[in-house]
Amino acid sequence: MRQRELILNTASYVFLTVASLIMVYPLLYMLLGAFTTPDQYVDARWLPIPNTLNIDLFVHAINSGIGQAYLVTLSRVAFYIVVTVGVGLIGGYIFSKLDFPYKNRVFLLFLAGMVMPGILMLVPSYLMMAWWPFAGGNNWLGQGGHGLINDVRVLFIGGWVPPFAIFIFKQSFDMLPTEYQDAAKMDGAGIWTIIFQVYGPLLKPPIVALTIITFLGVWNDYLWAALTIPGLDKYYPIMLRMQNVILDDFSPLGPVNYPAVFVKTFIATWPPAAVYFLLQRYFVQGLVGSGLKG
Amino acid sequence: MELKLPRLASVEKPYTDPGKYTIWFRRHRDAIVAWTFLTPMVAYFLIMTFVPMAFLIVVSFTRWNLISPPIFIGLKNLQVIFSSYNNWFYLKVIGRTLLYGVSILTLNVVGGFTIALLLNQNIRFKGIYRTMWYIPGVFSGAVIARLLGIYLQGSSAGIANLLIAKFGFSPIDWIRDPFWMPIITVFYSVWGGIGFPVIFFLAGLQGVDENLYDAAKIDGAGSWQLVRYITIPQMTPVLLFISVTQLIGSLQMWEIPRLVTGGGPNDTTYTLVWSIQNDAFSSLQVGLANAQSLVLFVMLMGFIGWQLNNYRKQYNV
Repeated sequence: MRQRELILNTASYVFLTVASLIMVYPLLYMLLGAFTTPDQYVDARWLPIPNTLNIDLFVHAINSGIGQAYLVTLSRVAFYIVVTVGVGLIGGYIFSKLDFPYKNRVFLLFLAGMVMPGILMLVPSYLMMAWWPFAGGNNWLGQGGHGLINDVRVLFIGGWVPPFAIFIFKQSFDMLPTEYQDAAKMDGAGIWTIIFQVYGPLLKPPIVALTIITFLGVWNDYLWAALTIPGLDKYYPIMLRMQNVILDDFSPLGPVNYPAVFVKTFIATWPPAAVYFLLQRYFVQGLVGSGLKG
Repeated sequence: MELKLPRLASVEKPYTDPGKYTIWFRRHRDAIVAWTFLTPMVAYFLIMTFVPMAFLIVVSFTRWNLISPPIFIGLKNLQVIFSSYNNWFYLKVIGRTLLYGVSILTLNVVGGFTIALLLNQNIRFKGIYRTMWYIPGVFSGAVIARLLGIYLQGSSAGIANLLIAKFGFSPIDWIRDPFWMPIITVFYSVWGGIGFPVIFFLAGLQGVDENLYDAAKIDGAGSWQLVRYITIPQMTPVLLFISVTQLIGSLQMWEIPRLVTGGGPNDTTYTLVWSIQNDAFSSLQVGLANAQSLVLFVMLMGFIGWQLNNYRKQYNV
């Protein structure tokens, strides 16, 4: 019996280790490949062994437009973190601690919005941007111009009321006693004070979780920008910029400067990975807590 | 004789009868605060969701190339989708999408559950393993798909070909190979997506009552029987939840067709969501694209409804 357990246990470890290594292999390959010379890279058997730190490649990559794209992406990330956490907190508080007519119906409306896959709305949302009244030469009916297409505002116009965040915060508010709010009201606190100063500090875990989820979502967003601002190079977010920049060093047939490609991918992908590594405890909690309890 | 009261006492306001409006205001304070904030939120939400939804439905009955005005053509778009048009092109797209969806779903759920079971044993470095399973999901679909396209470069200098050359295989033109590309597409999706089920299953497994296992062990149950008769029944809600979310997600796969193959080779990676994008923005058949979105919605409707109902029960609304 003892022996059998030992074998099973070893088998689990071996399987898990091999399988996990397969999972990270392509990423490790990219990371190590960014620090090799092309020759060393071709000689490598399983993984390129880093043997150089080619600053030129990094400088070249940043100058090829990634720097600008970083700024665009970071401003989007900052904007959406503030909106998601702010609106989410207010909405969560309202649905958890206040009692008002039509509460359940409004909640249900947001629920329906949450389960609706965004991809279904892709083409119609594009049309809505193109028909936005009084923008880009449009008249009040949304005709006559290009609307918000190829307008930088299109990157900031959606997602101001995030149902997902409202749900996570409602759940977190539900776990905190209502007495805090009553006591604060006695002292004459308004709704802002109650939400952000009384409850806010107690809600650190869901706030961090939503910050990470928003960060990853916005940083990795590619499709929306690709469709709505194809002609606006200056405001390409990082994921869209990368598509062109990577291909600078690539030709389908000839030799490829792989280290240069890896350097660029590395520059574009390390921030979400770093955020995930540093804060994954909160991330996992928030993710699991949002889906279902018990 | 006049009594001098201490100054402090006069600070207190004398009682005055609050007016009708003040009483009304106090009684409905919650509702007023709530609706002050909710009105703009609901208005924004309705505009950003229901206006596009109306566009989706209306435009799907038209022929429209975004430039000249749309022409109403009734159900012709749906007819094109469900007819032998272009050698059953759109029906094939739908069937292929379902096939991809089910394959990815099966691998993610079965694989994810197995991994979670293994990780749920008394294992060291659990956190590290969990991180390794989830980390591919953190990297962006767009950049990694592009990188995959570069890994799979067809010449002998491509990375995939360099690797297989070390085992003595000759180079393969992966991206133009109708045998390999669908397999790679499925594995790419599983690679990026399996971490999510693993995390959820692991959390669910940790919630299963230990006493049930102990009781069954006393009755002489083997490890397979424990999984079959205790773990799986106990995990049914989590399994269902993950299966539904995974299916909804995997039916929407578009990264590989958009960024690597363009739907090829021989349309083997031409999925529904890619077809929607392609018809709307490349061949400018917006009506047809919207009709396909409608078809996708109908395909997903049952699962979306199930999910909604699930949340409703959970939140008692």
